[in-house]
Amino acid sequence: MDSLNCRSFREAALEADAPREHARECSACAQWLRRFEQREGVLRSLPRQLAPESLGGRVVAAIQAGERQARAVRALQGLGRLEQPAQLEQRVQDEVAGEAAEKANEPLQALAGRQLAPAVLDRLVAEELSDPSKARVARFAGSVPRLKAPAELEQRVAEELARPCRLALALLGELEQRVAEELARPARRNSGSAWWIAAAAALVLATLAPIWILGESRVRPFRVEYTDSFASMSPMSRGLLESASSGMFGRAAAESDASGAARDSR
Amino acid sequence: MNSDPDAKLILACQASRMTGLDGPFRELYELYKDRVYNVCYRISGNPSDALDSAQETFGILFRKLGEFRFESKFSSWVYRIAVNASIDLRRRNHSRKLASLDAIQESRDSMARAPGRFDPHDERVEMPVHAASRHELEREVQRAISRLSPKLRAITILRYIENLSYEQIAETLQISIGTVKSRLARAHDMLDRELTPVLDRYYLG
Repeated sequence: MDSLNCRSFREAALEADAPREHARECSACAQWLRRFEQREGVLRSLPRQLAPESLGGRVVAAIQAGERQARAVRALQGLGRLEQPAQLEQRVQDEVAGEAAEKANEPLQALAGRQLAPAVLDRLVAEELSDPSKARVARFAGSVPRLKAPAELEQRVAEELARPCRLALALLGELEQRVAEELARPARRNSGSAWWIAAAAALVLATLAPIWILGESRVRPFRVEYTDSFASMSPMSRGLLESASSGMFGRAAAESDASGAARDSR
Repeated sequence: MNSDPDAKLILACQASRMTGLDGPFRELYELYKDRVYNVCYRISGNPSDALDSAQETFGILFRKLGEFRFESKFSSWVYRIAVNASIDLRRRNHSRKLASLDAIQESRDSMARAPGRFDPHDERVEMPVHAASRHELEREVQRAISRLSPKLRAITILRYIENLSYEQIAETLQISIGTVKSRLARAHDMLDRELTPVLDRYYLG
């Protein structure tokens, strides 16, 4: 391919009436010419876009906006220039003199006002560099404010403590104490009554455990009350024990109390 | 004697006290609105921006018409304003990729204007498959034009879509004829790379 001929041919081919003999001898230029003609044909065949109807309205709006703007500019240009007030020159001179004095004092002021870095900065920077995420968390966590307990909390706690489960816990504690006493003093109690007390305690425990598990998901505070005898227990506790042991606990306790009283009288 | 074909109309506009889109300016608008919109559409690449550019072009024309001194052809002056307004708007909106509601409305309007019924026996009506293929080609060509730099794009559009001569293009863009030729050659090189696969697919199937 003769590059000079090809280049001049291609430049000339851009004009519609240029001679095209070179393309018959040069296959590369023939191919180029074919693509050029295709491209030109496609570009020329692109459909003409007609202006939409809305353009007229927009032009009117633009003209009116331009008019308003021109009016505003004319109005601004019509404003007369104001004469400078007489004291302006004096004020400028004062201002310039004041600035010059300030500039002269700047280095001294800068030295006097310089703050030294606090000692803790070294540690903070070291922490930041060694573990940035941890340092960030520490910074933010330290700035989180401590919340005060709302007034409603106290009331809710009081309500929570007054729930029925408290009674069951009190009974359970009472029972534990009683069983411990009975087991510690075998001579005073006959062995039968001790076994009855133990069996009753186990039964009560088995009955109350599901209530405890289902009703409570967290540990609640409870109160332990110590009693000397079955008779000194609260009526509700006695009733619960008797019903749980089918009345046997009540009878055994009564017999035990009676024999104890007889022994004491002797 | 002024040789500009629009001289009489321009002088009438300049002589009248233009207050809006009426009188001789209305005539001028009707004469140029499609040409201006077409150039704006091909340079900006979408109907919404084309409408904005065309609006701006006529706004400038209205304000500056009194200052026109026939130092160039009036049509060249109008094309120059339209090209510059479109390129400026495109540059301003370069980061904006989403089609505006205007564009959607415009495409709906054009669909509404299209003939509603297709008759396969009417020889004047293009077959849907050919129409679809032609529309696809049009889109590819427009995309290739949009990838050209603003200068090359303007020259390509003025040359092949507005059918201006080299002299008219030179006058419109205020550059020499040699620059017009070299820019057109560069535009062809770039379009050749962009369009060859598309044209091969279209012509060779």
